[in-house]
Amino acid sequence: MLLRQLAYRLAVSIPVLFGVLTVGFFLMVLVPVDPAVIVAGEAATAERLEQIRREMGLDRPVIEQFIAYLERLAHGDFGRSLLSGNPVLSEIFHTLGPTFELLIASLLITIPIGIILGLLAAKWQGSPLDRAIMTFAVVGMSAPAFMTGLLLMNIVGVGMGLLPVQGRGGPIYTPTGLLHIILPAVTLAMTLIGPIARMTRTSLLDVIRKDFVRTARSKGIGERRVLIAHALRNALIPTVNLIGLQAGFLLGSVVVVETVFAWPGMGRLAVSAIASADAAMAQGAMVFLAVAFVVINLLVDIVCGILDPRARAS
Amino acid sequence: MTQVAATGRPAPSLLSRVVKTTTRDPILLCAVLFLLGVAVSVVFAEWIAPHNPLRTSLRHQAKLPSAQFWLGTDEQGRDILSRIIFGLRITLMTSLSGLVIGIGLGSIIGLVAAYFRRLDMLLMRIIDVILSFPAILIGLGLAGVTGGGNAGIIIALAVATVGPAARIARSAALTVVQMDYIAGARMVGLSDTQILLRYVLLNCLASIIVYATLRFGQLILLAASLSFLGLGVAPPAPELGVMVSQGRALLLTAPHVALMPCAVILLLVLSLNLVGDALRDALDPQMKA
Amino acid sequence: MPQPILSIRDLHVSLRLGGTEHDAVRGVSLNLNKGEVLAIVGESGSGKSLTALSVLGLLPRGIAAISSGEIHFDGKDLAQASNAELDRVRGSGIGIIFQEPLSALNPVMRVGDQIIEGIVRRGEASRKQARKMALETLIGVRISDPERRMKQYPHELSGGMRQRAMIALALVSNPAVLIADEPTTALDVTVQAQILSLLKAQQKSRDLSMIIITHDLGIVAEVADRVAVMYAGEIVEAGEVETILSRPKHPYTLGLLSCLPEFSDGGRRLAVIAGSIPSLTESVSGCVFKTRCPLYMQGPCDARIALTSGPDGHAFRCIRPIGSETPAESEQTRHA
Repeated sequence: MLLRQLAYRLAVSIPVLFGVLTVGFFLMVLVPVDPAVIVAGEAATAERLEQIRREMGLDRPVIEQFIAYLERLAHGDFGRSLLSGNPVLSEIFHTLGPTFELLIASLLITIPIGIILGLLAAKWQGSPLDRAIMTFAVVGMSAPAFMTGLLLMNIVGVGMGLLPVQGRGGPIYTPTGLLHIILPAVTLAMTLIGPIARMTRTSLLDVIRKDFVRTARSKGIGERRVLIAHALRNALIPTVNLIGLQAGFLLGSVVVVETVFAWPGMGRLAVSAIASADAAMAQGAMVFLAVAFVVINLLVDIVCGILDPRARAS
Repeated sequence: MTQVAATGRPAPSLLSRVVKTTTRDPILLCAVLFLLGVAVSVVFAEWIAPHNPLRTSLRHQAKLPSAQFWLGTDEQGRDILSRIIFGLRITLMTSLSGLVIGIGLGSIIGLVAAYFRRLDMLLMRIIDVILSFPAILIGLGLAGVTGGGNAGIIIALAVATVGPAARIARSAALTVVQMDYIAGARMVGLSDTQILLRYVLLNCLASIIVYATLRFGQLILLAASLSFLGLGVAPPAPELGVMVSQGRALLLTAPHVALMPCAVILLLVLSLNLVGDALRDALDPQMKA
Repeated sequence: MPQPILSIRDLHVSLRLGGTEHDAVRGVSLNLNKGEVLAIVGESGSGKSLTALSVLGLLPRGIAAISSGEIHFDGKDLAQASNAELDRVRGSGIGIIFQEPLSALNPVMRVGDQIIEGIVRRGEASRKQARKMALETLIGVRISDPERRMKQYPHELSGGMRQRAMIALALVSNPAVLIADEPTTALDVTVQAQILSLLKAQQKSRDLSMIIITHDLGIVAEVADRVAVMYAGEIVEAGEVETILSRPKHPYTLGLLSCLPEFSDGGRRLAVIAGSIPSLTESVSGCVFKTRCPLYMQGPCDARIALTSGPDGHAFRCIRPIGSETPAESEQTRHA
């Protein structure tokens, strides 16, 4: 039953989230920088620092701090950023939209194009087109996201001056917003296009030889319907599965792309928080990244369940 | 090394098939040669690198490739080629460590899960949890806790690899474990460990090797990305990802500083992917046997 | 004599293996008369399945193709027909069922949808009407709980049920001809008998003309009116079932019969035909069976042998047919 599978996925994610929370907490404890110093300034006196530590609850045993921390989280209090002073939660919410936008935009590019490329390569198997597409795919897979990003930035953005290279220009439905999202979305899309094209090609070539395709043909329903409703429909299942397996990799690429293009998303927030030892912010961002990961996996499971009835009955 | 296929007939030697495929395809040949070249450079870096990778020079900042500096110099006047050679050592050591640990642990877990069916459920649940940790988060978290550095990256890579490796080892082992000759071996009196090592492992080796080669490339990308984000080794260490991130500032004026290490990463991962693909094609019919 | 409903004339099918083309079906000619059941029997590699698949143009693309010959059905030569023209015959004129029902059904489509697909796509009926027809056909093939089965997926059905569903799929448009390619081979023994009796019943009630491909002479005896024996791509003997099974003329046919447990002398080992079918790459000059024939005679058997037809429709491809050999040789054949 699909529901049971989803419930299992959620259940498995709870230890993950808990683990992220724990790591996040210990970030605050083990970090070499003393948060009290950051708040009070380097020149503060020892008493002042002690006072701040008491206020922040830093003088109590670790276990007590951990429990207090979990209680705060339960109330939605993720603390405040050491740098900006703003509540962590609100800063993260501001970054949710941009990251989500970037993910959707890149998936909208990579999935159709990847599948079409795989289709073409399979249809003209062995031809120069097939080899060209497969070469493109394997090279695309081998290039680090930051390389694609920097190259696009240099050549298209600055060299040709066609597109803006930094930051977000507004919501995606505005002209500036659209212009700004193109380069980062394409860069992110490039990381997945290779695997998708390759998997589509392989599984299509595999499926077309299967007996049920022959049965479909024997019913006189027309070659196009045989290819699309029978062959492609089955061939897409491993491809969607692949996207799910690549979710972790995709998340990593999101972080890199956001950093390269100064895209104001969760990934960039997490990295800068870690780099500046802003423990509360780093931990909050990591939790949300983990949640995003779980959500992506759940969505893939649902789509897989829709596509493949055999998967529903595990 | 000959592998005995399920039917008992010795299959054509793995080595001979690999050699045959390689010599037929020129691009594959280049990839293999490139990898060998990289391996040699990394091992003998001290003798091969023309300059000291850490030696800065105000006179030669951001110079284009020349006779003296084959790949040019970076923003602090250091020879890029030498830095790349030593940087490859760091990148490869990190990725390889993560790969070996991850695959080692994962294979053991997968094999045990397939062989001792009672443990299967429990082990696979644990693996599912591990699989639910995206590598980037582990890298971020560890970097935050340890302040960066190689150890964190290695652990992140290993954890990211354990899950898939366990799954692959397990499914390969499952097909073997159900075969009759395993039952035969048990009847003859071989202990579980002996059976595991001698029969099960050997026949799963093919799947594991193919996975390892393809995964190696992905791990290199991951390691480079983590360093690029500043979560790995700190400068002035010549890690490839760090070199790119530092060269970003000069992207417009001296793009080669950032793009040279990028190109090397690309070629390295590309070669690994090509070799991995060829390995998989060569071993596949045997795996299906 | 009325025209046969399906007529295959001098069919050649080439198979591409490892870069070279081979003649896998060589000059096969068959006639299927209305309302009769014709069995094509032979061992693996005899070319019987390829022959069946060529009728509807279902040979695996890029691997096998009709190289010459004619296939006449309903006034058209199917061997020359385009894919679109063949689509008009597939399902509505000629139906086909395959050997392995699990892999022959689309795993992600409901059984009911797969059955009505042909009717709906060809515009023969509305979806609702098609569902009714499918239900009736499923009832006809005696599947349990047919309404539920229609909503289920192939993997939810047992092997026997899947095969019944496939039969329903092939028969729902009331084709005039049904081709059954080893319909019971992949099934349990108990289910085999059920499916076979089902096919017989359907054939009678619908007045179907049927071609059944099998390697099992027992099935031939049970359902077929006429039989053609194929060996290495050629027809070596053909005729009425009763005649062929009781008075075979070709040594191969006799050999096949001798292999049946029923015909062995009690207590002695089962007879086998020594040797194996020549592979596609070996070219055999003259009689294809000569490498395994106990009656082989050097010289006459090395020349190309034509099909000899008797007045009763009994054809055979042998110059030393059973009945013409000496008693000593006959002894030898019987215990080969």
